[in-house]
Amino acid sequence: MITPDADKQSQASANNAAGLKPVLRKRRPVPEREGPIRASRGAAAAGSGTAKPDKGGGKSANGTAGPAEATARPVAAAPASEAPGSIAATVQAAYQVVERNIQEGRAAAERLRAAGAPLADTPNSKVAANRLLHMTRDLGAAWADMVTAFVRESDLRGLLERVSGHDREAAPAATASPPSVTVVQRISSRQPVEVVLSPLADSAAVPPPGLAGLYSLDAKAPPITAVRFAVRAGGGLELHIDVPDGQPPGTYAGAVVDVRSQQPLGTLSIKVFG
Amino acid sequence: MGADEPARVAIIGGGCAAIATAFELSRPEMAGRFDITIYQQGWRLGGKGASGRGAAGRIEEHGLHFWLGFYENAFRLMRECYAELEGGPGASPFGHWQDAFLTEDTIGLSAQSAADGWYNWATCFPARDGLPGDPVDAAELFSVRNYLGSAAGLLVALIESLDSRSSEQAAERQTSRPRFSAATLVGDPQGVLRAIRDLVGGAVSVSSALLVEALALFQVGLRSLPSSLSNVLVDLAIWISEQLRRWLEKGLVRKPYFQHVWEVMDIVVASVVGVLRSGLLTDERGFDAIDDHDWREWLLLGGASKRSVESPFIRGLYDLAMAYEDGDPDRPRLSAAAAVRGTLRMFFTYRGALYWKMRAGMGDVVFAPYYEALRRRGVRFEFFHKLTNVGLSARDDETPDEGPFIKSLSFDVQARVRGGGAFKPLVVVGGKPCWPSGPDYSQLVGGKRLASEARDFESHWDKRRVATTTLNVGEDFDFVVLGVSIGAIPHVCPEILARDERWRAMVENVKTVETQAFQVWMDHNLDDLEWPEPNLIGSAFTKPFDTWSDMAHTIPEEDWEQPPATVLYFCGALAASPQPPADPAYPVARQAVVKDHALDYLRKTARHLWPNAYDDGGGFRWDMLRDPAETTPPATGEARFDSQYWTANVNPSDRYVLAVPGSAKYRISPLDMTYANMTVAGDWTSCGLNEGCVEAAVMSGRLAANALSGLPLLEDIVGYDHP
Repeated sequence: MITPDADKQSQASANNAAGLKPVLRKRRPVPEREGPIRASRGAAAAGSGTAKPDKGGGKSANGTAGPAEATARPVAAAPASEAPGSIAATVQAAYQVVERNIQEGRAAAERLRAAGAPLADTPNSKVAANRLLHMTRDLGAAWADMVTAFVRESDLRGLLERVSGHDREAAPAATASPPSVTVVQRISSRQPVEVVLSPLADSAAVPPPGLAGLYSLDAKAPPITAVRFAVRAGGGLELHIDVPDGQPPGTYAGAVVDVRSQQPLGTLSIKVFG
Repeated sequence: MGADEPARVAIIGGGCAAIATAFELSRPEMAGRFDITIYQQGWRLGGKGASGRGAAGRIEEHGLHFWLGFYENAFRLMRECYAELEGGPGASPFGHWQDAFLTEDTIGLSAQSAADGWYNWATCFPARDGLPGDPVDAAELFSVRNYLGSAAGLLVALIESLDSRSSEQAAERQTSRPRFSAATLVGDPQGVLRAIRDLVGGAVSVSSALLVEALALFQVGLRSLPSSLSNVLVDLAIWISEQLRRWLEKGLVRKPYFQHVWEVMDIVVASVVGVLRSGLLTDERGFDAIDDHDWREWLLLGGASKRSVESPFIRGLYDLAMAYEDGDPDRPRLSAAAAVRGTLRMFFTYRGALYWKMRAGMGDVVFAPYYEALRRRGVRFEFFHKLTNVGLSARDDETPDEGPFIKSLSFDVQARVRGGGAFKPLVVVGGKPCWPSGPDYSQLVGGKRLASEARDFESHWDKRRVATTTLNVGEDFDFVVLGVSIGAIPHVCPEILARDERWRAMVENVKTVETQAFQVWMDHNLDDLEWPEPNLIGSAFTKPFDTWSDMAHTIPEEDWEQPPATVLYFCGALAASPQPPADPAYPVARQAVVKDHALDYLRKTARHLWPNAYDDGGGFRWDMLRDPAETTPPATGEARFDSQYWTANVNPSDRYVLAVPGSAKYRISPLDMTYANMTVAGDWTSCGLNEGCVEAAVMSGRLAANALSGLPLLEDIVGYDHP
């Protein structure tokens, strides 16, 4: 509405009171997050045991996703070395890595055992599981070999003992994000899909959160309603999504909510490819 | 209004960020969820990227614009825009995007030696696979490990280039043999560690072959060793830097070319050491962890020499970022985070070419197609609307659930369109729609009078108007996208600043600088003037116009009866004035200052670049300047410069946004939820890249769209999730 300059602002103050009633105002959606993920994704290289810091859910483009771990494990900071130099630091860090890989291997084995029949039914999942097992085993072996090589060097043996003692006292540093619940995805789809789940706090696991469905921006596309979370025996959650045959390609999204309080816990989106 | 009705979005401003938001929200996939109106002061879109057509259809810019080859978001949207227009009814006058953007691969740096004065150092960056805007595997590309590996690869390439230029070095390489082969250690962390230990701990006779193998070992180590062993890589990097210096100083450093390569290598090595020492491989803050450092200071901490941090290479990058606080050449200030992130993206992730020049003005190549595409999508444009106030809700109107919101937007209406229709802003030059340098007054009510009064619709100081208007929430808009630049915030958001400490801190700490530019059209090309280098973007030259380029390729796009041989563009930061900006005479005075700078530059400075532009008496050949409206008798001497173009970019919204150390934490994200119905857009926001450039603006615009619609997904905003 244009106000002639002669009586400028005369109408501006007559703001339509109805417009100020909150019930009439549209609101911005709550964003998935308010900042970028800065932690380098490459930091997880070489099986160091670190994981993506705050990006929940794995991505699977093949629609027959195997377990996609979404843990956000804090990076264990190397304790200060008592001995200077790179060799001391190497031995010290290597010891940590070996221990962490052993723990990771055990945890992975537990998870895979708990996965049960649905996992075994999908060839891709078998491949993924085997790869995970091999990777864990090989990395563990490599680091063990490395440490053994160092230990053979007599002048380093004492150092290793000192460092390992120090290491045991050093609890993993809680450097970063709060613990996230592990979510294993079980997706049934004939079409390729990509799933993105925002991190869910550990406390979200029991009772499992709920989801009303996944909706497309295209009003003509039917929602994906066969979506549910379940508690896993070994801890964490399982996410089940059944994508109906012939589901129109597009992005479907929904809010993950606490079934008791109805408070939003995160978001889940699935991109269905044609 | 009902919940299913489209949300009315008021976008304030027409720069890169605001237009990107409009482009995202108006996508067909949105199925009409948003009813969008763009409010723009004056007659043209573009913000700091606006350009106009003046006499003889010549292009008049705010400065020297080019797009870097890593502008993934900017190119992606631009390509979509061109494709949409090409796919629309009739032939698109804009053509294909690759006809509008031209690849360039050479950067020229100017350096000064005591013996020879100024000389130039041109570096060609080879074309790389792909095109900016193509799909990209961001997770792999943007990892710190990948960057470090690329840095090692660059060092190898530089060593090999030195070898090829020095017969002595080549001979040495032929006869020396490395003590190990890194290639055999891939996938063998134990072997890698052993090799590093042997190398770092042993006595060596340094050679280029050994250095190359050490760098290869570094690359293998990056891939093979966990982050917790990064200190081993630090030791190796330091060893490499020491050996590299020893090797280079065995005679190479005396030659200018080798000196500059030495400086670049020194900086690359210091960066690698700095990244590792700063723990950036694992720091969840990414490069923001070093935001409090000035880039040069941080490089010195990484072991760079003082000479390197004062080299043309570093000066040139500060110049490109206009990174001088208050425009003072003695106060270079650039956040290490922004610099490291920017240079890594610039040199290691470009696609196609290192940079791309626009065939015509940025307004013509970028904003005219966007205007046309958005108009076809149903986006409305309200030109001549100058924002004067963003009205904040009264506390009594707010609920704890919703919090503060924007209740009104007030504008000065600078002009009204005859008949009440939409203003048609474009003119056609050479068959292509372009923005004029001034409005078409014939479309405006009282146009002749407005023209005779010489109203400056883009001036902060020209308050003349024909009306005011206020938009109210719920009645006229639902959502606001504040797309003005940060320099304008104090003038249009006093209510927010009075109440919001974060916004006050942002305005205080995210600094901006005035800039200056001029263009000269000449009857001789650079070959005639004895410029020895290829076409390039020149940087690191003397102040105040440290950056320049030959833009001869734009001449055919202009409308000269007798085209000039070339046109040269110059730009740089403009040192702050003691005169208070509130003074109404301020903009005119600053224009005069820029004109003086330009004249002085041509009188004296440019002789270092183009010797033949000066006559035997040492005076600039003013008669080379082409006047588009030649008078009889023609102007002579310096008076001919009056026909050329210069600009002092001193409007608050035209000020260039800096990335000074320690400022990133004060930026506010478009995703920030403080205001229930408003988001912000601009290269001044926390948008991931956090630098003053087109890409940052477009990323911010896409984030603003996400803030209102949930789309594009944050993962699809390339480079947002970046260390």
